[in-house]
Amino acid sequence: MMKTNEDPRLRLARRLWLFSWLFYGVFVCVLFHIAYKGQMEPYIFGLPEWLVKAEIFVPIIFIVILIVFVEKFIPNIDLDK
Amino acid sequence: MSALGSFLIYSLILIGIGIYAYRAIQKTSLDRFVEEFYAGGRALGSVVVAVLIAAGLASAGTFIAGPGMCYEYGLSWVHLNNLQTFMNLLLLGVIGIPVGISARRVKAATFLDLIKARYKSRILVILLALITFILLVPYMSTQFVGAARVIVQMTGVKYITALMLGVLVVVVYTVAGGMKGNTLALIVQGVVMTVGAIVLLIGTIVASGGTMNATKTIVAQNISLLTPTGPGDEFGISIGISLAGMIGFFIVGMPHAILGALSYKNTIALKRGIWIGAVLVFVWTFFLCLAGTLGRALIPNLEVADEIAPWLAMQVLPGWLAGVVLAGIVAGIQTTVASMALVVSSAVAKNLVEEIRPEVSASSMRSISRWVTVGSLTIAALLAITEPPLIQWIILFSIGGLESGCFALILLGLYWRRGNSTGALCSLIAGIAWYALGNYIPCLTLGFLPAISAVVISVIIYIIVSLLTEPPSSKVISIFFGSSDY
Repeated sequence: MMKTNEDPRLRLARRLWLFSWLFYGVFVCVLFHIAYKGQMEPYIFGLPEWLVKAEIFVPIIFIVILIVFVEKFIPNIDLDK
Repeated sequence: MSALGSFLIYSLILIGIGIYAYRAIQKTSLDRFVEEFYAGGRALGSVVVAVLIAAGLASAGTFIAGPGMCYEYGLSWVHLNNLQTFMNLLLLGVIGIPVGISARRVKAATFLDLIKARYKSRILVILLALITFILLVPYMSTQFVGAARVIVQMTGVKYITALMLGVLVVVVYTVAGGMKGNTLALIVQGVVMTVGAIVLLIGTIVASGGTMNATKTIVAQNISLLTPTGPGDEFGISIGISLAGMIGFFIVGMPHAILGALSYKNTIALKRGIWIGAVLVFVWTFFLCLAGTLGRALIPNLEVADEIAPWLAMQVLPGWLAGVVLAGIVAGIQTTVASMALVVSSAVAKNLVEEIRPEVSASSMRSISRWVTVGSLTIAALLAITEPPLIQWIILFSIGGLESGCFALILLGLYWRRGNSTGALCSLIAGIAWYALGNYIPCLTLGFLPAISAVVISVIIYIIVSLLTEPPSSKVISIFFGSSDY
């Protein structure tokens, strides 16, 4: 196979792929852990404690982390080259 | 104003958008028609990309079956549905950049254009076009069924009238305006879907006397409805992992999702599309699903669980606002159908016809594209007339089939230069075959949903066969992996 110089933008793409899967993997683990190990009481906002922590707080925290990461660490690149 | 009134206003706005988009796209030169019609001229901004991917993937499964499952099985399905929150990240973050680069290099307007350029295999393109058609058309018909049922519930018109109303609107704005019509409609639909989801939850909470009151009522009915594993502990970790695969890690195997990766304008649109999508999917999913469970406090014995969202809208909201929620639910379905119709149309009109009759002219392609879009929507509508029961199983079956066949050849084809057409073809056949067998022989699935083991098998086959056969040509490697001076 002929040697081809790899497009440096693909290195960024691979890192972003790795980040996406790691980020989602951690999200799933945290979500499962808090949901399955959480308690029903005390109720928060009138809803079971596990629901509020796992299904409201966890997604919101992860969305905030995602916004910061994506806006701060993904550089703008030219796709047209 | 009645629910029907506000829903008709929404439908008329979409038809107006279709007519506007038709006029705009008619001005496009013939040589740019296909790129404009299927990929929106690769100029979609952040919000449109976010809604295109999120709403395309969050189908009737989110907007009707989601609240229905949460009504039937309680908070366990709020938990499981939340696994889809990061779908946009798992599509754009995983393949957004390589698709963006290579699609521009090979001028790919459709996902099969990209596959054709990467693998140079006629048989693979034909097989994929057929599989896309076979699996997406029934999927589209389930969306029409869902939309028609909601319209019937909330307006009282006959099923067939409701079906025609839902189909007509999508036909007008996708057939007339292609991706341009779809993207303009998406802006209206994204707003309506978000407002509808928020309003429905607030109305449900107020009508049930607050969340504490609703929770106490549900505890008195059956406390296990408030657990994360559901009544009878039937939704444990294995179904959670299966769904994390199907609506998470393997989402790149869904051809209609790739539309977003093919059509975003620049990396700013990609970045914003990732996080705006997460916010939207979380709001749609969580608000609608929680309303579904809390709805038990208002009506504990609804005969058909899937009717909980329209039932709540009609009972807890004033007529005109109920119409907005109806429009939001139907919009969620229409966006999915529109994306799928464009993918099926591109697979058949552009790729299949091009393979069979390469000499087809640009003006013929314009008519063929529109007629195939009409044809695929018509077939889906005709299938929907039969009103198949249990649409959620058809949806899951189609998603599983597409991912089993397409995941390996899309993802590895974009990242692994050694991957070749023989590996892709074998992985497609092996994935689909294993998936079909897994649906009948449960021991093959190792306790997970059949798509999980089918995807693993297709990845293994892709790697082994590619390593045992000739690598791709240096030209293909240069185009897909080489630096800009390829």
